[in-house]
This record gives sequence, structure tokens and C-alpha cells, in this order.
Amino acid sequence: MIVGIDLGTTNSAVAIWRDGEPKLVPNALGKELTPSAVSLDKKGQTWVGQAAIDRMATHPSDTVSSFKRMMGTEANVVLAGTKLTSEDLSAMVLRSLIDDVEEAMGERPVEAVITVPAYFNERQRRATRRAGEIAGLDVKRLINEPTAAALAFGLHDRGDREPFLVFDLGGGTFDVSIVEMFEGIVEVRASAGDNRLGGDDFDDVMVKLAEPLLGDLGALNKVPTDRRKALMQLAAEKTRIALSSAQAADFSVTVEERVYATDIATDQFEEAAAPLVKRLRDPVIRALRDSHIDVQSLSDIVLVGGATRMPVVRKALTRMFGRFPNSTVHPDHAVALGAAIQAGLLSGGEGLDEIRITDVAPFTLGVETATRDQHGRYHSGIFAPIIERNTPVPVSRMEEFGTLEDNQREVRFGIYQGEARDVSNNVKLGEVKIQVPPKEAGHVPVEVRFTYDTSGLLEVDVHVPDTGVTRNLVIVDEEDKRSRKDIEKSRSKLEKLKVHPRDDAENVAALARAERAYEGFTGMQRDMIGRWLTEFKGALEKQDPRIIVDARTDLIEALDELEANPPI
Amino acid sequence: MSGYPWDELGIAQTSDVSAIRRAYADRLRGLDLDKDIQGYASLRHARDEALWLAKQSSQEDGNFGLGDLNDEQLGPDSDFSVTFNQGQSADESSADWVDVAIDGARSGAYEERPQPHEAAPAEPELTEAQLAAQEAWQALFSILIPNGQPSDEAVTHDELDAGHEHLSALIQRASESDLVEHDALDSSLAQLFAEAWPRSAPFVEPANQAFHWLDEAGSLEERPALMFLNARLQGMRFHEEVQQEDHPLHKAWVELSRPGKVTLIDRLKIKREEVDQLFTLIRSSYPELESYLDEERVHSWQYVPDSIGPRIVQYLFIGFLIVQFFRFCSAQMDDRANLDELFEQTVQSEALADEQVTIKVQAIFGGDYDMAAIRAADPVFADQMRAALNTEARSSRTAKGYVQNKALQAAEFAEFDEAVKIAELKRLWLTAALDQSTDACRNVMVGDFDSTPIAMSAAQYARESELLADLLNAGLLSKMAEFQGARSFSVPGWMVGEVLDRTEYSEQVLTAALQNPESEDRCQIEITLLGIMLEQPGRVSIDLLRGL
Repeated sequence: MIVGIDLGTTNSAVAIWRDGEPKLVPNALGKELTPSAVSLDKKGQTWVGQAAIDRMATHPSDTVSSFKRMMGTEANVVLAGTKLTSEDLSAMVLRSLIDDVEEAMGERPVEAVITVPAYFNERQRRATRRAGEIAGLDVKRLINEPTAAALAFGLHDRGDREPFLVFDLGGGTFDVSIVEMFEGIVEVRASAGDNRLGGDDFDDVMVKLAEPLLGDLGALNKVPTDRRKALMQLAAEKTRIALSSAQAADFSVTVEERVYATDIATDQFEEAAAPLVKRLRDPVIRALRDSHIDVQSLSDIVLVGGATRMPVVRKALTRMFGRFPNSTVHPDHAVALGAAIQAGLLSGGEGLDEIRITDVAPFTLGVETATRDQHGRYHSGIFAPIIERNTPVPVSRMEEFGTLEDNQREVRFGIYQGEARDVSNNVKLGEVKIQVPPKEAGHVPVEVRFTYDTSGLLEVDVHVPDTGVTRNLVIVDEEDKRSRKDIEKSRSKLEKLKVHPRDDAENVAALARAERAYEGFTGMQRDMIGRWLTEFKGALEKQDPRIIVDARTDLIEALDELEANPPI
Repeated sequence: MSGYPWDELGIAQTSDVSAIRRAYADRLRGLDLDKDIQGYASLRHARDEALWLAKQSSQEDGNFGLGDLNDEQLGPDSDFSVTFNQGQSADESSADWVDVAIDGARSGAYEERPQPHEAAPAEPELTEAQLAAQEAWQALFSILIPNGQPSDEAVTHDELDAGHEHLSALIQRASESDLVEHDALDSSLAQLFAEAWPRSAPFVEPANQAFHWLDEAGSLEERPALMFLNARLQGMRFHEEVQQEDHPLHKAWVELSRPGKVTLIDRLKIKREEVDQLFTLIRSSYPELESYLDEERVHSWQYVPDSIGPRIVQYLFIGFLIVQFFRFCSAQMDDRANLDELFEQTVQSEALADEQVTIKVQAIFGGDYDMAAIRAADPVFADQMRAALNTEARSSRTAKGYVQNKALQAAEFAEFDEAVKIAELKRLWLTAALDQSTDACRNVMVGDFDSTPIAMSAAQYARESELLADLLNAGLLSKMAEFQGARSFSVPGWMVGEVLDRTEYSEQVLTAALQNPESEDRCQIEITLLGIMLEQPGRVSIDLLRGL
């Protein structure tokens, strides 16, 4: 069984191909979406998903979310004394998703298709694949998120479709893809994006907007920075979601029984978010230009990603495209469903014989070159593209280069990804060196071949015909050399961490939620929650499943009611 | 079947797009993409070509030709004497300006080439806002391209104001419009500004702010018109910055824009490195700025014999001859032969009335000092001071002149802080003396403080006492210089340059005066040099600081 996994910035989901269609697998709480959040305590106990989100308010320094934004970087976080990279954290989320599948299917999956933002670069893709390996998965394919969404969108009626645009604004990344379907072929024509733009940025804008309006911050200023940040972000997210259905919403933070609150109106938020909205335009224009398709001939605008629910984004979209977007796909489910379709394709799943997907490389790939001008001045750092962006993948291209100096002994190629003429503005992926026979400058040809596979991973071969020597570069050399051992190490590190028994997951989540609510309310309500908590803990101690289920149901209902009708 | 690409697809030649797609899809399903990359590439290529041929044959009857398109493409090296088709058609037809094809410069995937004739839908009804924008466009167009002819003349004030107004109306419209219109406005403005350059210069920056043109600068897909405009924009920005005095290349810029040949002194003042940097920068990035530079000067800067090399000039110095005579304590100098007498005199001097001594000492070092304080600070100097006071009683040589001369001698031993103080003292004396007469000043220069005692203002006097007391406390006044007479120093080129900037002297006079201590202008020049040095004493060598 190959599972399809949407490893998102904010939420993750897992789906499988069954009975000729993709199906989402719910988690232990019965939800299709598992928040991409992790929390730890000193004893090595872990919380993943909703429980971790609830611990965000109570244990901010031991809890982390949005770690997808750190993928492919050296950054790491320390939670309750344990140092974790974004790969480790992603692996923990992945593991929790596989547990869900094992529970539902009675079989533990070992193979997966994982989605990545189309605009993820090589490093970020490699990091994602490593996260899968740490979680014990054989990652059969990385698939671009908008492509996955296009599959899910296209497959529900399987008809031919003129080019449509997938607008995927997630928690931390933004992708635009232009896709066409004919005769069962799903063809991505072009992708563009911004791998540093997402719903989180809108939350940050909200926090910046609200903070000065909260008045005298008093106690709030005394709270440790991480806790204060967590509280503000949770409040911002709540307000942002509330603004989706109202002209104004309350932004409120409760600290030590004091409530700091302000009203945020839609137009205030829109004004503050205008610079972000502007950034949505450029990738759209670029994808259209690259695919030589004009806006009018797009047959549909498909929205994916939770952040596309924001009215401010919808409004910008309607203005940009001069029409209303299509909302037949579920913005939070489409990517995981598409991943499951790809998984079905790879395993020869029934009903998929006719379907094929072709994708493109969203970035230009090339090498660093140097040259001499007519005055003999040496110019280095010039980017020579070998595979241009939006070339269909897989693709393999070769370019020939020559030596620059007489009797040069070695040629060194820096491998870069990006769109700038000056390599220093692109992402460096690695470097390959090769010896050359000493000859007159320019008289030793060196062939460089770039091969880009369907997962968007690159291989580079450098060949010197004069000597017959070929060097094969596994990109990000150092990292990959280490990675075998590292993956083992990370895996055993994570295995030491304790996961709540599955039967317990709902109780753990309910407890975390009640504790968060306790922090978030004041006065009478707070005392009430305190009593509920004591009762629930008492029920847990009795260890009678029936009593526990009843107590939990009561607790959740009570919390639901309280949160739906806040006293303020 | 009928050859490539049809063989590859396994179908007969056809103009039926769906038949081509079906054939492609069937073949694709038979491929394992990751294992047969080459097969996939050639299949796609065949498909793209087949689709293109199909399109061609279905249009053969029409009057569609690709020629028009190519005309509109500006090559990167284009001189922008390019056709005005777009602009002029804007005058004729109502909505053409929104029809500028979105046209990538590269050919990708399979390309449905832009087809202006076919794609143009029935003329849509224009909204009021669109009509207003169209009017603004036409007005801006006729300002920039008066009478349909590109003009090299700058816009008048009125045209400038009107142009800005129309432009902001267009920018406003773009921010409210959909992508098609936004993109069309963006591209048409870029095109118009590129074609109307340099008349369009004042409008480029505001348009850049609205459309982020510079963000595209340096990207591989930079549109040709933008490649041109962005280079101008960066040039204009650089031109503005380099005219600010704090810009690192400002001096080189001023130098290169002055008329005439470069002289030795110019080479001293300006760092060759900076000039080279500026040349490289202008030639590689802002070639149009070269017209601001003086041709002759540029030429003469560039003519540097290879043997000298580019870095030599900044290390060039001009020789600076200084003559100083030092006074030694009369007791030791005049009567050195007779040690007995020295002893006797010392004993005598001790006999001088304490009161009188204190008055004299206070006159030199300020109110806080008496003989005891001097002894505490520097016992050796206390003895010398005693002797000098005795000498004063018997000759025209004053104790004050002695101390002043000693201060000059101290320079030889001074560390940075004290050397700076001595230089300040020297400037103080020279300035005060020059107010009296050139002779007085010249005496001070050689270390003779007795022939014409310097008259100082109260402020100068106070400062002198302060500085002398500092030297006393540093233990420097008892030191005796080992060398006297004529010495020569090297003055770095930049100081020479500063002197030229601050005084009226010509290079010749300055060079002569530096080498001839007897020169008339010497005094003023030395004061100026000291002034320059005191502004940034860390920039000169300690030797120069001590010697000057």
C-alpha cells in the first residue's frame, strides 16, 4: 500500500487509493486534518496535532508549529531540552499520520507519495524526502501540491479541460500552476510561486495591526516572549477566521485573568494586508507568461489551501481574474486526495489505467561560469542555465563548457537553482570538481549533463571527453553523505520519545484543550473549567473506558458550548 | 504516414488537434518517463511540432503572418528605434492598448503563438474607468511622443505636471483592474517609456514604484523594454547618489567630469583605484553615464603606461623640507664646558625669589603650577626650567621661548596623543605669528621664539598653557632632540589635494613652497597642512605627525 500525504505548513492529511477513488483517513480524533504541530515535555512525552496546538498556549516554549518553513535550512528548535530539526518534526507528524492509516487499515504503510510546494527548491525537497525516511517511509515520489490538487480536481469527472489555474495559498507557501487535461493526461504547463508567503504572514500582519490597539499592555508585556507570541498568533488566527464571515471581529488575548481585546474591521485588515496581496500577483503573471496563456482562455481558477478562504484573498483573486473562482474542490483536502491518486498510479491502482501526469521544473537550473571580456577582465559568477524553468520533467540536458586559462588543471562547477543572471542571487545546490588535461585555454571541452526526475530531484554528470573521466554529483554532497547515518540517528532519537497510546489520544487532546481554555477564560468560566478538569481527571483515574468516554463527551460538549458563546 | 513529426506520433498528417493529442496520450501511456527521458523528450517535441503545423495549416487561408510579431520584439541590444505600431494604433482604435499580447520571450512547451487577429474578441464595451484610463494613456503618449515623432528634448514644466497626472491615473487604473489590463498597462508603459527615452526619464521612477520593474532587473526573463529601462533607472539612481559628497566614488566622479587633461596633482588627490572602480561600474552597468564625463580627462586617466600600474599614484608623496633649530638649556649648551659654573649657577638660581619664579611659571603653564608642581611632574625639567629662568635674567633669551622650543623638540619622542598636541601648539603659534608678520611666522617655523615674541589672544594663551602643561605632565619637556637643522618629509597626495582645495595656490606654487622653507607662502601652507592633519591625524604616519 502506498499512501498519499499532504505535509502542510498548518495542517497535514493522509489519503489512500481504495475502490477506484481516493479516500482521506481520519486521525484518532476522527478528523481528516491533523495540525502540523508538535509538543514535548521533559519526560520525552510527545503530542502531535490538535493536542499540540492546544498546548501552544500553555507550553509555548515546548511546542512548535509551521516548521515546514524551516525545511531545507540548518535551523532547529529545542523543545523541552530535545533538539529537533524541521525534518525530525515533520517525521513526527508523518509517523502520526501512518499510525492513523495503520489503525484504519490494519496494515502499516511503508511507502508514500508526499506532496511539496511546487516552488520548493532542491534542498527543501531533499529535506522532505529525508523526513519521510526518518519516519520509516520509502518515499516513492514527491509530487507538487498544485499538481496534486489539479489531479483531484480533474479526476472527479475525468473530462477534457482547457487550461485552468490552480491557486494554492497554504499556511506558509504560495504556488500557482497552469494545468491542462486531455485524453486522461494531466499536463502541468507552468508553475510559479513564492516559497515564503502564506497564511502565517497574514496572521503576522494581524498581530501587528492589533497590538497597538490593545491599549496598555501591562501584564501582557511581562509574559515571556514566546508565550506572548504564541498567544498573539492564536488570537490572530482566530480573528482572521472570524473575519471570513463577518465585517468585524474580536481580537482578544487573556493573560493572568486579564483580557486584552480590540475590534478589527475587515477594511482595516485589508489595508494592512495589501502588501501581501500584491505579492500574489507576480507569480500568477509569471505562470501565465511562461505558459503563453492569457487570462481569458483559462477555463477555471481552482483554489487550494486554507488561506484562500480569506475574503481579502478572494477579493484580490476576483479582481485579478475578473471572475469568481471555482470552489468545487475542498481547499484543505484536494492535495492529500491528489497525492493518493498519484499513489494509486504508482501501485497500478484500479481505474487509473488511462491517467498520466506530466509536470514541469519550476526553477531554472544551471552552473556558474566565468568569462573574460575584450579588455581581458575576468567576470565570474555568471549563471549559465542548463534546464530552463517550466521545462517538462523528467528531462536531461547537456551543455559543453571550456577551460578559461592556459594549462588549467581543474574545472569547478557551482550548481545553482534560480532565475537571476548573477549566481549569488540564486540558491547554491552543490559543487563538482573535475581534473582536466593541461592545454591551451578553451581547448578542453567539459560536458555537463543535468537530469531532473519526476520528483523534481536533480542529478549532475560532468564528463571530460579528453580523459574519459565522468564525475557524478549527488547534489548537496555533504548532506547526502551524512544522511544515511543521520537518518538512522534521527530515527532512533525519535523512537525514544514516547507517543501517547492511541486509545488515549482523544483524552490527551481533550485535556490539552481544557487546559488551554482554562488559560483563555477568566472569572466564573475559569472556575467552571477548573472543576470540569478535575472531574475529567478523576474519571481517567478510574480506568473504566465507559466512564472515561462519557466524561470526555461531557467535557467536550461543555467546552464547545462555552467557546461558541463566550461571555464577553 | 508522412515523416516527422507524424511518424513519431504514429498518425497520418492531420490538422485535427484532438487526434494529435490522442496519439500523444496513447504513446505517453506506453512510456516509463523516468526510464526513458529521451523518448519522452522526442515525443513531446513531435507533439508540439504537430500541433503547431496543425495550427498553421488551419490558418493558411487567413492573412495571418508571424512577421508582425517579430517586429514587435525588442532585442536586448535594440536601440529602440523600434516601430510605434502599438502607440499609434492606440490613437486610432479604441481598445488596442489593452491588447498588447502577453508574450514571453522564450518558446516553451508547445506554444500557441499569440495571434492578434484571431484572438481579438469582439470589441468589448469599455467601462467608464477604462475610458478615462484610455484618455490618460493618449494624453501621456502625445506628451512623450509629440506629433508622433520621438523627441530628444526634455519635457517642459507643464508637460511634466500633466504627464505625472496622467501616469498616476493609469497606475491607479492598473491597481484596480484585472490581470490582463494590469499586464497590458505595465507592458505598454514600459514600451512607451523605452521608446520615448530620454524624454520619458522623469516618469520612469514612479512607474517603477507601481509595477516593481526593478524587481525584474537581472532576471533571465527580464522583458527587453524593461532591460533597457531598468538599466536607465539604475543609472539615474547611481548618478544621483554619486553626486552626494559622501558617496565613496564622489571624488572620482567629480574628477572625471572636469574638463582638461589629468595632471600629476590630480593623480595625487584621487585614488587611481576609485577612478578604475568608477570606470568599470559605468561601463558595465550605466554606459549612458559616460556622456557626463569629460572625454579628454577620461582619456588621459586611461593612458597609464603599463609599467606604472594602477596603484602607484595613491602612494605618491611630495617632499616637504623642514628646517628647525632647537634650543638647549643655556646651562648645558652655552656653558657646557664648565661644569663648575653650571653647578654654581644652579645654586644661584635656587636663590631666586620663589615668588618671582611662581609668577613666571604660572605665566607659562597656567595658574595651577609652581616650581614644586613642575618638580613633581618632571624633576629633570624642573632643573632645566631653573636654569632657563636664570638665563632669562641675564640675556634676551626668555624662559618662555625655551619652553616653547622644548615643546618642538619633544615631538621627536611624542606618542600619538602628544604629537597631536604639539602639532596643535605649532599651528597656534604659527597662526598667531602670521597675524603679526611673515617674519615672525618664519622665526617660529625654525624654532626661534625669542627674536619676535608671539602676541596671542587670551584664548590662544590659555590653550597654549593647557597644552604645555599636558606635555609637562607627559614628561616630554625634559627630552632633548638629537637632530636639528633641515629635514625632509613626505606629504601624502591627499593632503596636497586638500591644500589645493582650501587655498588659492596653484600646483606649482604649492610644490615649490613645500620644498623651499624660505618661500613667501610657506607659512600659510604649513598652517593649512597642520589644519588638515589635525582634522584626521590618524590618517598620516606618526613621523609626519611628529615632524610637521
